[in-house]
Amino acid sequence: MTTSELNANIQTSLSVGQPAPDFQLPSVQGTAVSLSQYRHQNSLILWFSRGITCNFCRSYMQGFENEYDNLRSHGIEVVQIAPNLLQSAQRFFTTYPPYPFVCDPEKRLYALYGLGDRGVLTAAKTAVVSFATAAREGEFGNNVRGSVLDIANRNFLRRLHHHALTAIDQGIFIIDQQGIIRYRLIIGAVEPIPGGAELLKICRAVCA
Amino acid sequence: MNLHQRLTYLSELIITLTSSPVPTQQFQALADHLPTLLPCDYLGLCLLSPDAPGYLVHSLLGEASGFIPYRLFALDEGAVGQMLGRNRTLHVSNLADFPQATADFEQILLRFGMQTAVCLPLRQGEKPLGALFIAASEHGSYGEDEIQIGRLLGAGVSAALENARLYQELIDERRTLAALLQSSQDAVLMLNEAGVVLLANPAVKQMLHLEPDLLTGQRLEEMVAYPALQQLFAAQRPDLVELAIPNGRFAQASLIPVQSEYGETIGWAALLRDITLFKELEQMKNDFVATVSHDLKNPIHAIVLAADLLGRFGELNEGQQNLQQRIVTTANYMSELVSDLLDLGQIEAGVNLRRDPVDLTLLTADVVGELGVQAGAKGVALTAVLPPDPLILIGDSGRLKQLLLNLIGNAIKYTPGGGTVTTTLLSEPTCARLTVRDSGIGIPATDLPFIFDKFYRVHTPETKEIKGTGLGLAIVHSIVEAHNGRISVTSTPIQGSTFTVTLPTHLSSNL
Repeated sequence: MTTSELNANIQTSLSVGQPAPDFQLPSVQGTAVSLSQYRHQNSLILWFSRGITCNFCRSYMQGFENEYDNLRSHGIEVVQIAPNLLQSAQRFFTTYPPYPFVCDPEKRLYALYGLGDRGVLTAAKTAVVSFATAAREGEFGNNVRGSVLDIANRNFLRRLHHHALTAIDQGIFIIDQQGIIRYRLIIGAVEPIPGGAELLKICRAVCA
Repeated sequence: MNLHQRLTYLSELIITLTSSPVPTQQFQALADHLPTLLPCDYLGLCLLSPDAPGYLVHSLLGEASGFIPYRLFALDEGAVGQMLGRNRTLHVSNLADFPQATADFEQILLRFGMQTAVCLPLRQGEKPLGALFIAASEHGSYGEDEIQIGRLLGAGVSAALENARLYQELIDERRTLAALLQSSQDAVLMLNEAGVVLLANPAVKQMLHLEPDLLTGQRLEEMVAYPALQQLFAAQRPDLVELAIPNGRFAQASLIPVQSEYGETIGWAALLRDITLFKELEQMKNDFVATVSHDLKNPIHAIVLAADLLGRFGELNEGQQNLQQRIVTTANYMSELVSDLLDLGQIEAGVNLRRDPVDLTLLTADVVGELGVQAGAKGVALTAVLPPDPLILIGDSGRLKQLLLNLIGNAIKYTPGGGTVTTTLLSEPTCARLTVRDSGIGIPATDLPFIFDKFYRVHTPETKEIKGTGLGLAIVHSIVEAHNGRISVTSTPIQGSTFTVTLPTHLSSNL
């Protein structure tokens, strides 16, 4: 993906039927997690959570753990994304979750997937998605330009807005074998996210 | 909760806020814990816009949240506007009576039953960032204690955000540098004083077939089988070496000290650049010179021969003889030029260079003897100061003789009758120093930097009558280089020139 395509994606937030942006982020389990490594799964559930300090999230996590084997037996993988620092997440867990738990403290991935998109402040999102992603996508030619953009966007206030916009939201994305988004749900903090059994039903319905 | 309990809770909240540099977590902690600390039925995070004068409201807590629009509020709008103007905590005891209440913020809160509010400034140093807007549905919720706790909380949040900012700056800085190193085609290796690899970029893998992740933290000498690279680091001085890398390629490695701002050397960095292409181009150039020179020589010989044979087919008159002589002279000059080119090509390409022990004392004496006739004919006094013992170095005696012939021959050529040419040979601990000093016409300072260039000739009235191909000194220069030596020149017009050649005498001469 080129930087311009990236920016185009940011401005119109991701919707069902669009390809899910790939990423590579570290997990608490110690491995790097990328979207492309789950292409062989029937469905991938990406859960953008509020993180380990959120009581609601902790109870949802328990739900996912309980349902995990069942989901796996249907070819469904779960990846939880949290805005925690990798080190503090690693300290937090006494036993790691059975599914990959990915840390994104800068919330670049949240922005890339359109969380915190209230139709305003597109600039707040471009502040967090920038040249690091372009470099990861192997776009060498524009590196220098990308880094200039990145520095120009290093506005702390802009980033604060993005953090404020995504502090409450949670997101559930279901991605099919072709890497296409088949389901998208963005909800506030107190609304419960669908449980494992319900997600299984949704997966089977949307990823036929 | 009594005041003591609330202060305890406040300090715990501030500890939580400052324990993570992720702003999201600070906002979540606020939303989760604020209602326990202060009466709070609505919490809004009002942040100044980075793009336009004004602020935006991010609702973190309360039923009214979904009804507050995302729009830019002007800097003088609402309670936040008034607080920003005064830059201090604002207590709105009665929202209904607040004169600056906005229709789509304070009025909506009123509709959701909020009666009173407190507005706490958030700052980055002296610079305002925005405000925390806390509202309660009960009149008189915010007494003096509550406002004091609120002020402490505002300061705590500001401090936590400042931590976040500093952390972000650090990460950004690191990421920019990392991205540069990641995308560089040149391999970068950095070692500390103990020889432990601190940094190896991905190009290291491509160029040296070494895994950067496995290298870091290890001693280079235990991981790398490139003697040239090890020697480069071991020498610990700025230097440049060429090394063979896998797949028949070549890299040029330069070592640079990494210094702190106090001037101490904290490590060494090597930058490796793939120069295979340059080397191939150089080889092509040398091949070209050699081939072309050789192919040119044959036809010239045919011309000279044909001109010589002309006389056999009948008597030539004076005009014809004159022309025949000019053909021969010009053809010989061309032949000389081609020979010089061929020599230069061979020396530069390192073709046919021998590595034998050579006695430079004897060789210099021979050359001075040979040129004695030429010097005598011109009336130039040619003297040599030679060491008493043989001076042995490893090299190509033919090329070294050519060097001496060219240097001393040149000196004679550019010294008018009555002048002197002195050749001095000195044996130094690691090298031989040859000095050729003449009392000739000298070289203008503007020409000095170029005299070792191919085909460069000094054009002055004095040199007009002196023939030459402009390749003599270029040949000298490449012979010196081929023997890992150095050549330098000093000159004063009219007074003369001094050429100094140093040639290493130790055995590592890299032919």
